[in-house]
Amino acid sequence: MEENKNIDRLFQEKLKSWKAKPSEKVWTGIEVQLKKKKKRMLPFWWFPAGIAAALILGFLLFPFSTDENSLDNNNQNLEIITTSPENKIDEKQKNNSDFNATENDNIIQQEMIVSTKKPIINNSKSTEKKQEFIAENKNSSTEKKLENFTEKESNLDLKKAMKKIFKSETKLDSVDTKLEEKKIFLKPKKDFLASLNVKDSLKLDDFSSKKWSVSPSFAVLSSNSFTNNSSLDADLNTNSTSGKSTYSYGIKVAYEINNKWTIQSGIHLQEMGFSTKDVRISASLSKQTLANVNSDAQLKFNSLNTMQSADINTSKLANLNEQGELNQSFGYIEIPLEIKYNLSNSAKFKTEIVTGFSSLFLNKNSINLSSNSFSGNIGEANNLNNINFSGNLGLDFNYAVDKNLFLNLNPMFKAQLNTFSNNSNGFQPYFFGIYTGIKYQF
Amino acid sequence: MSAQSQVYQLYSDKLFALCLKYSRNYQDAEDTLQDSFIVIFSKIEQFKHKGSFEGWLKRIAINEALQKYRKKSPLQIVKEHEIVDEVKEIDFDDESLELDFLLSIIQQLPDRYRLVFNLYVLDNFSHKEIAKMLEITESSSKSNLSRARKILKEKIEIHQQGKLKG
Repeated sequence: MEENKNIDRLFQEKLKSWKAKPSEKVWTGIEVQLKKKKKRMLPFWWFPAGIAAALILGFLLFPFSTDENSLDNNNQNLEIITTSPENKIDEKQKNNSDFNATENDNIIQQEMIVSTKKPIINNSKSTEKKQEFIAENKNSSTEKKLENFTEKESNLDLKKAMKKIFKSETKLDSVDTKLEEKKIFLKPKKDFLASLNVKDSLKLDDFSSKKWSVSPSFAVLSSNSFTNNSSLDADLNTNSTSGKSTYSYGIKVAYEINNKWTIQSGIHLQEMGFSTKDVRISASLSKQTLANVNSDAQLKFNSLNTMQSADINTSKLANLNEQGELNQSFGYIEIPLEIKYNLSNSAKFKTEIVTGFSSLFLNKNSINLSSNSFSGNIGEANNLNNINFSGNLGLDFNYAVDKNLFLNLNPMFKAQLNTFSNNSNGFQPYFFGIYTGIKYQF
Repeated sequence: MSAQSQVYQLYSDKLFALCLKYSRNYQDAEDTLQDSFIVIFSKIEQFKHKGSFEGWLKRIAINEALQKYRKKSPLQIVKEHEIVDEVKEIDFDDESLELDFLLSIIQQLPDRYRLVFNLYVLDNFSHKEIAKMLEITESSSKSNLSRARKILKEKIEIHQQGKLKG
């Protein structure tokens, strides 16, 4: 046993406080790998930030003033209706040649823009920063600049960490007695269990200290239906009904249960829209012209595909025959309850799978008609439930900008479960949305 | 000079010495050192300030070295010596035993023996801890250690005898 101690002591004394200088190529190798890593990370910066910036830019490019035009259109329409039939024919012929689909599209866009004014203003503040950042990156387009930039960025983090470290390390560095050495080696023994899985434990305390997060977000939604039918009236089933691009905005609050599971809720304002094209409009004596719409307009709507000559004759105002588009839009206050499971995370990037459901409270319900001589609200759908639910599934990507600040990209698929109270003609809406935002952890 | 290179300048010498002791050869030690610093720089923000920074760095380097040899190869085939404690009493002449020689005989040990010897003798881990780290039993940790000691002792003896003759 004595022998053992001797040999142990021999090695301890000779090798414990010994230092060896590695060759230059080790540092060169480290430098190369560090740069590679940073470069690979950069696209993640640009991806969510780029999408958000593109969204805002897109909305800003459409001038809000065109709103007035649609009001003018409405006034014009009132006049047209009161003029004599002969005039209308002239007017109609004139307009028919000018008529093109883009007019209708413009109106849709204008409506969207008008109603999205608010979120744009809110979001523009937060995205200004992002845009600045992108601009900064673009300027430093040459590789050298890029490297400098990433180095600076990481240096800032490191320097912070280093300051603290050096404070606590100065003692150890200055004193080089064996006693001091002993301490250093004894320490790892104590908290070795924690160090066994260095990676795991580090991940854990990186996220566990900050349980709550809040993230304002904005999304572009693409609405659609599982079936091709129209929810307005079975007569319009043969028309093409398609979803429009709408938006959602709101705020999410999340609580991290552990490093794998997170629950989140929040509140969102959400719009959905569907347009039924190629509708033939004619005057009618009855008010109830579409089965599922409450309307004061005395108009009759048929599908162009199933047009019958008899329809034209039965109406006294037969010459008010128009081709147009019915736009249904409805909005909800959405309160989601979702659970997220962490698929992978590195120090900078975190991917989660999200699933759950949302309660949707109806707060907007309107049906607009737009044709070349008439456009405006004609009523509201009477078959929409005031409360309905949606099933949600998606992915959640977070990229750490700062210790507490993340860029968030969240593509979601949401299927509406009970949108309609009755007689929906098999219309089952769903939507796909890309939510972007900024997440703040505290 | 970047903050990374400052950290490297300050600690690479100590960590390289550690890597040399845990590795088979100089090349492996350099690889382990490089891998360790990559891990260190990617995790430096997560350093908890609880223990010493140097201790934290060493744990990462040890971990990297263990990863390299723990799974790589099954234990090299070694001549199984009878464990006997009746080796002649030798007065180790400290002066004649250069560092390079001691290092080389550590590096020549089979991987498992080398890791156990380093962990127990030079870095003060217990057999229980070593067993967990290397995914072996405590008793094999103990027997690995005594075999390592025995091999080292024999090599030192041969070395000293050679010196005396020469």
